[in-house]
Amino acid sequence: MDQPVGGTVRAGDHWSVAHLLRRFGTAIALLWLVCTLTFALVHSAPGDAALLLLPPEADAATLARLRAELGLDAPLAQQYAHWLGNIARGDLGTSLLTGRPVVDGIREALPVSLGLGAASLLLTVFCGVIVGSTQARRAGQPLDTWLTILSTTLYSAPTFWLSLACVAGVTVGAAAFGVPPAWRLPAFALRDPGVLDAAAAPLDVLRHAILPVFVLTVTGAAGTARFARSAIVEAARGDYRRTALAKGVTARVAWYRHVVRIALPSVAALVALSVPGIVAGSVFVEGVFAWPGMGKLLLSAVAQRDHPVILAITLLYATAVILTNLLTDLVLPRLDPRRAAL
Amino acid sequence: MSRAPLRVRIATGLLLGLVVACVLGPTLTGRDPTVIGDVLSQRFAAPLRADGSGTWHLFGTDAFGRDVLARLLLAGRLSLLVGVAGALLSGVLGAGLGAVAGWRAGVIDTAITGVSDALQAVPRLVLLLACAALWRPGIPTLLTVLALTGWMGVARLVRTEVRGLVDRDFVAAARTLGASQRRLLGRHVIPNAIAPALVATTLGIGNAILLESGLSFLGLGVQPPAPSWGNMIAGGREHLVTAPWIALAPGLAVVLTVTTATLIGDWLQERAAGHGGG
Repeated sequence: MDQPVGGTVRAGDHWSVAHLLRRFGTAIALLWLVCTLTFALVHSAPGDAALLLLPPEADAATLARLRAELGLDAPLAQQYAHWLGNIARGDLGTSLLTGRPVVDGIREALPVSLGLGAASLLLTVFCGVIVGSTQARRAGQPLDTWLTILSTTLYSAPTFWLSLACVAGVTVGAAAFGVPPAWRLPAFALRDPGVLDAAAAPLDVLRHAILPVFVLTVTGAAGTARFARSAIVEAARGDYRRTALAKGVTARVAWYRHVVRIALPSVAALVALSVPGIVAGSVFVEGVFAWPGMGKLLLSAVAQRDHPVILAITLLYATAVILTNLLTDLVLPRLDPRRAAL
Repeated sequence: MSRAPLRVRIATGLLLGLVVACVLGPTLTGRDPTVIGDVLSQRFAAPLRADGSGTWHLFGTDAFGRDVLARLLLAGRLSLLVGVAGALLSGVLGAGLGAVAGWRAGVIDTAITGVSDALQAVPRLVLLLACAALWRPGIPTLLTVLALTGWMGVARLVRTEVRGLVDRDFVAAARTLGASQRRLLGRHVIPNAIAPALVATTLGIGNAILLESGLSFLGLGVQPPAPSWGNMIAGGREHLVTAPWIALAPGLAVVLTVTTATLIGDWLQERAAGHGGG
């Protein structure tokens, strides 16, 4: 899109200052749009924070006083400017429910979600690429068909349902098969309150992480494998492999160096594409497994209609997605051997 | 026309079978999924077992002694309907906005593309949760929200197609002959740009069913007592450790529907891309 028309692309183009500025500008414009849209969304909904905070029998005078206190009586444009200014300063407001700054709640929840997300993302990309590449290599053969059916099935399974199935598996299932209690995986929470020994704590968290990470990885890797397969099959259609085979390299080298390598930028783009999926999946996974992360925070905010928290988390997720896209946009061209050679 | 690969034919058969079973519903199982009888003797019958009154149940019974399979088929009517309607609505909205954006370059195009990019930056589930929390939960809200959060992919495809058609000879010829804007778009541009939108909408059905089940699971979608797959799973959650089939059986229906719909959609997409089925 931003290649100069009629000219050749130079390797340096993607790092030029003008290009970087344009990319950052687009990202910031997008962030502003997301902010504006979420603001419009909240203010187009029936009812406001004052109505939610007060009991239904509250009289008009109390309602008006609270509205004035919360700044809800100001003109919409003024509220918008005020809100946008606060966000720019990093002030995400106060939770209606707890009365604490939203940032505090997020600060506690974020590490949990980041750990869960990072572990799942790494495993997702790793497993997904291996399965996808195996499928692409045997495209059209029975193994490919079976793996396609398997990945489509896992990709189609609701995350919350898979999580519940895992919980049932480690509780009723393990009991039915007579698995000794010491071998059973914990079904809920981040850690066992009974583990007080500081040395045993990391291992305990790790044991608790197995099921959530497993569910996120399985659903994520299924989607990744589907995408990686088609990217690699596409790359195998190119002339690179034929040329490499003609000049006498082994089939194995031709496959990895001239097919998988060509598909690498698209596969790397997957990391960016997987982020929203992992985020959405983690909402349910944290909900079912009772992990005190961002997803759980969002779910309880949704259940209690805690607008400031919902808004803040939506913005945070959008920022994460926009930043990942920006990063891949800048890094991806460097991974493409066809471009690096120029 | 090439024959569909075996897996696509099997998927079509399974999906049609499920749809027919859901439509026939109680007539097929011979049990009324809404009537609550002798709760104490009939509840929590395990799958493939008979309950206290001697009636046999394929998927067991729930906490009120209702047959899970019969309820699951009844729930399928709503879940399938919401999924298909949600995907269609977002497809129509996306095709319309995409066509306008591609046809009228300039400010309108920038505005539509900008809003589309901004909405795509928020994970769809999070957007759905935020919307569903702000409005009163129910089927109209669910459909509106599904349409509002799902149109961007289709819009992008249609915009690209329309952009490519604007300068084609047959469009120019029609324009020279004095065709109105509406006739140009409706008669010459949109029919030629619609194929990818149809495929994307088909693929969107599975996604919409998944999202509906998720929102209903959280109590933000279809409201009980009307059964949907999502709220059946939610209802079975408290009995997960004692009677896991109540929560797990409806999930199987979701998996079957979405898997078959996705396999069919994928094949349609491959065909549309001109690689042939395989």
